[in-house]
Amino acid sequence: MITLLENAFIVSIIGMAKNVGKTTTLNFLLKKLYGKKKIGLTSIGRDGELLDVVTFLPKPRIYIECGTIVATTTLCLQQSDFTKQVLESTGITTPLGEVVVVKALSDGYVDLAGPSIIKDMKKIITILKRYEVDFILIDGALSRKGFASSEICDHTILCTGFSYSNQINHILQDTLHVVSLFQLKIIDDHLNDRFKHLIKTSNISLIYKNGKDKQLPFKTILNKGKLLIHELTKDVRYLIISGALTDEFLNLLLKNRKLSSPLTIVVKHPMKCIYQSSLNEVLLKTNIDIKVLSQTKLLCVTINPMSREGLMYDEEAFIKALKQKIDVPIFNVMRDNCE
Amino acid sequence: MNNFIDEQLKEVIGFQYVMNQLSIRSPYGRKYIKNLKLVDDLDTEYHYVSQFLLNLSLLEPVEQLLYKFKDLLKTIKDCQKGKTLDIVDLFEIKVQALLMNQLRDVYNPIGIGLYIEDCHSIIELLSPGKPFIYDFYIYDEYSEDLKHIREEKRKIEKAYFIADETEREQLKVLRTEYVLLETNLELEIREYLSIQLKQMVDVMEENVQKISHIDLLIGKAKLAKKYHAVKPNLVSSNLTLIEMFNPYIKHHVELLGNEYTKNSIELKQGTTVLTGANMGGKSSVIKTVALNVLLAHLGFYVFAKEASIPKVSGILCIGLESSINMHGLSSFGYEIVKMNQLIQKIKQDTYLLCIDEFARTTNPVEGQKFARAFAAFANNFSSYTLLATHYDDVVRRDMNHYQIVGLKEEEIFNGQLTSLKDINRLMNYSLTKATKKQIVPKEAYKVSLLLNIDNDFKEYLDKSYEE
Amino acid sequence: MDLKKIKPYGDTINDGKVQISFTLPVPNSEKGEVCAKELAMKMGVYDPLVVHRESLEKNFSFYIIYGSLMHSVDFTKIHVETVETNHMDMKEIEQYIEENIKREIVVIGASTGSDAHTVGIDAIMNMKGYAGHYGLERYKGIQAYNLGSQVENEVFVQKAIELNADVLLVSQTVTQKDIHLQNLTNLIELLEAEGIRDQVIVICGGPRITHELAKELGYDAGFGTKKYAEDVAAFFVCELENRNLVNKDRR
Repeated sequence: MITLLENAFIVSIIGMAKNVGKTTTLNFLLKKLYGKKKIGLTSIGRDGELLDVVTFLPKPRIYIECGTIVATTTLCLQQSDFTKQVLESTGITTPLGEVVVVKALSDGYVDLAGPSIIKDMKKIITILKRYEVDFILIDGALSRKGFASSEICDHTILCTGFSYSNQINHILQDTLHVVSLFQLKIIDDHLNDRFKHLIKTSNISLIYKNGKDKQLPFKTILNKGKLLIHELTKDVRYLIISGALTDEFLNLLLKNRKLSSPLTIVVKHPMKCIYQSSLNEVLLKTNIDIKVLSQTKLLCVTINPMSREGLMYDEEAFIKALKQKIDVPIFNVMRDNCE
Repeated sequence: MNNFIDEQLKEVIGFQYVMNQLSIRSPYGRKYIKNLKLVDDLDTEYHYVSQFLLNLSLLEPVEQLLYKFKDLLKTIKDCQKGKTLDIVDLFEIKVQALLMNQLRDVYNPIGIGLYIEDCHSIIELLSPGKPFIYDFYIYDEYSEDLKHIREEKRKIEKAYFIADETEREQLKVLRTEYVLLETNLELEIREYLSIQLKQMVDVMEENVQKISHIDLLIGKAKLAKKYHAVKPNLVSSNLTLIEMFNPYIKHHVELLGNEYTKNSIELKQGTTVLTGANMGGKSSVIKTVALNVLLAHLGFYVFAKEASIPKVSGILCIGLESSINMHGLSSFGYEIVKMNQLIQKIKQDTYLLCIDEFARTTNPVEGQKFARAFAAFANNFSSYTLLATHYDDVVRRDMNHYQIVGLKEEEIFNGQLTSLKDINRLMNYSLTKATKKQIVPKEAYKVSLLLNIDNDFKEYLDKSYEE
Repeated sequence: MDLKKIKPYGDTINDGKVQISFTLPVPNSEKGEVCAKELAMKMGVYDPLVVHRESLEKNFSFYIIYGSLMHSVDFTKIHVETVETNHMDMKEIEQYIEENIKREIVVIGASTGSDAHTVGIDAIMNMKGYAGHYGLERYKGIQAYNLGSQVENEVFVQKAIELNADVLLVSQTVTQKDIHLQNLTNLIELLEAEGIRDQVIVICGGPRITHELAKELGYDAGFGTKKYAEDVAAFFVCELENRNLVNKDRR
């Protein structure tokens, strides 16, 4: 897995749900990078704490190397045991205190909690870059995926597992869905700039087959589905949305749009797609496709075959099923032979 | 400041608007603004403002530094109370001490005053044997034992990395022991540092006061520059404002595309009567006088070409409040209640009294009598009373009398459709000193013509005027 | 008594006496009783005594057990770190808004997803409030909209955009089932995708919500039991200033 990281600079670790092994994956990466790279580390949620905040079960702790630059909150800093050098206070507040940037002067365990808001995360990344780190790792939270967008990171690792469901098909479908988001095609270069400009100036716009564009007066597609569908005549070739692409809208679209002419929905990046995995199959059968203005590279998928109750599931079958549909490397980080 | 002027009145006269134009850079300055107090030593304050005004370009680096300050008052107070500070608190204190010294190096040489004190000892305490940089940790330099413990811990960590599973478990336990030792020792050092800082941090608190003041002074200077405001002469006799203006009112007038008139006025102790037709801008004159008097008492430059302002114990008013404050009494009842309160006050001390259309809420016959009586009564006291009225015959010979010119004669022709906004263009808002007993212009008829009243009604109106 | 080994208390220090109760999906019988005892022992309760058992339905039975817990906890090692919050009462909050915010704050609240409970959100928002702590609707300077229960995230966000909301209050009864956590994080994801997350203050509340859970979920604060409207309001009026949202650009 480490060879995959060669060209990466900022990597986010996202998960399908709680307890899918994000922290284990993170620890694995840290262990493999020990002595090799200067790392900047933070989390959009909270990780490395002693006890799980919902189940009160012990959680794996995060062990970092001397020299790592960490962005975490004041409260969590007190619960970390490495020798700390405070470098900056950021003014970013969270329910667990202000986010501060510290340098580890020894190895040790860290209680990691960074900024929760994506805009604040951008600020933290700017700060981490200032300390000349070779590599930035952003740990995820629960099922949050928004921060895996290209606005934040260049690569991502998806963690999945049996913690949130014991139905192998359910997990398979959901995982494949997320993987497919990272495989959405990017709009061609020659159109890209124009789209970027449109998305900046208007929340929702259309481009017709004849090349003309129209900026619609809606702030969002939420609840405006019917009005928007009305605008989507046969002549519309592209629908450009700066906000979220949701179930409600897609369902309406599928119900009402004639199948005759192709339509491409364009969003900024794949994390704007907030719709259920079940819609994927349906969309494939139509001539509606979704494209993005920029993408994040999915490095690999990791699997945690253990459920929250402690039962082990058949990972072989799961991996086999995944491999049939996707081309991305798949690992179980609990196994030592995983490199 | 609440005893000096009513909150509501502050808003009405445009004070809030002026405060919003003030630029403030630091959280300390912002807090200071929220608790603005009357200035006791106005001479010194004005001296500072004039110096700041003179040196605005030199003060630019000071401004830049002010933006960097974080509000650390709580941490400073905690420290003074004897709290053991944590590593982030110590970091923040060190950073701010460094910032204060930086500010000192740039500001003190300008030589105005309010000098920032040296925080050298704090910086040294928090940077043992090291160059002064913007970071902090419990340095090895604080304790040989600490250095030793950390070295041992480091050795264990290095061994841990290359060890196998069984060794690791043992090393983990060993490491935990060292972590405990390190944490305890760090705590001791933090306690020691906190005790040392408890004495030293008073300097920072004093500096905070000065920084707030400096920030405000820069704000005052910039405001004065922007509006070409002047330093008022502090007098004990007549209140004079030459070519005064009210930025709040001026802004709104110009927004509507009209011209703003800068008037001059002189109030002596006793009563000054201001007459003019309705909509003539009498309220604006009163608000402008009140605003400038308030600003003078707060040590701001005032909005006029020249100004002489006496010290008063407060600004009182009747008639300028919004309707919210009516307390459920009938308007006239409210006016009388207020008048009583005012009278008690002016019997004790010198105030600025702003009375807008006194007794307009009762019938005109009695209203005029009340207005006349109050004007005469107030004339006996040291307070400066500015009374606006549209009643005739309120003025007496020994009072100053100003009149607003009103509708420009040449603008009146038949059937001219004007909206309320347009009326403003037809009005001459200039104040003239009325030397003879002048009658208040009766312009209601003209105004209604301009606003194109219903022709059928006009017949009745004409008849009414003939009778 | 040893603070390093704290145990539950029955009538003697360190006796570890506990009462536990649960339902088993088996018929009420002696076999069920033995099963209940074994479970209790696995939980660390020794010498368990089933003091009561009864049938709930044909195949479900309920057990109440007394016993002594063998586990203990080192009380001295427990760190309860809290982020300091301002304490203001209703009058102080109204005054703060008047002096510092100088405009009406728009607050929208709901129980989202499939959650049908409105007790929590009503207690914080409705005029009557709870136990004498008046709700946000009664505050001068606050425009409160209670959208009720079972509100879909998409509807919630759309309303927030429409009303130019400053504060979003989400009530959830969190259980171990992932679905509630997913629903709470989905709201955050939706706000981020719509590009408005940084323009609002998002607060979650419910019986098991803590600031720690709130952090994981991506919320700005989490309020559990024994928190009332004034606690929530004290937080967001200060936070609005801290995050420079007092004079935010209206979309």
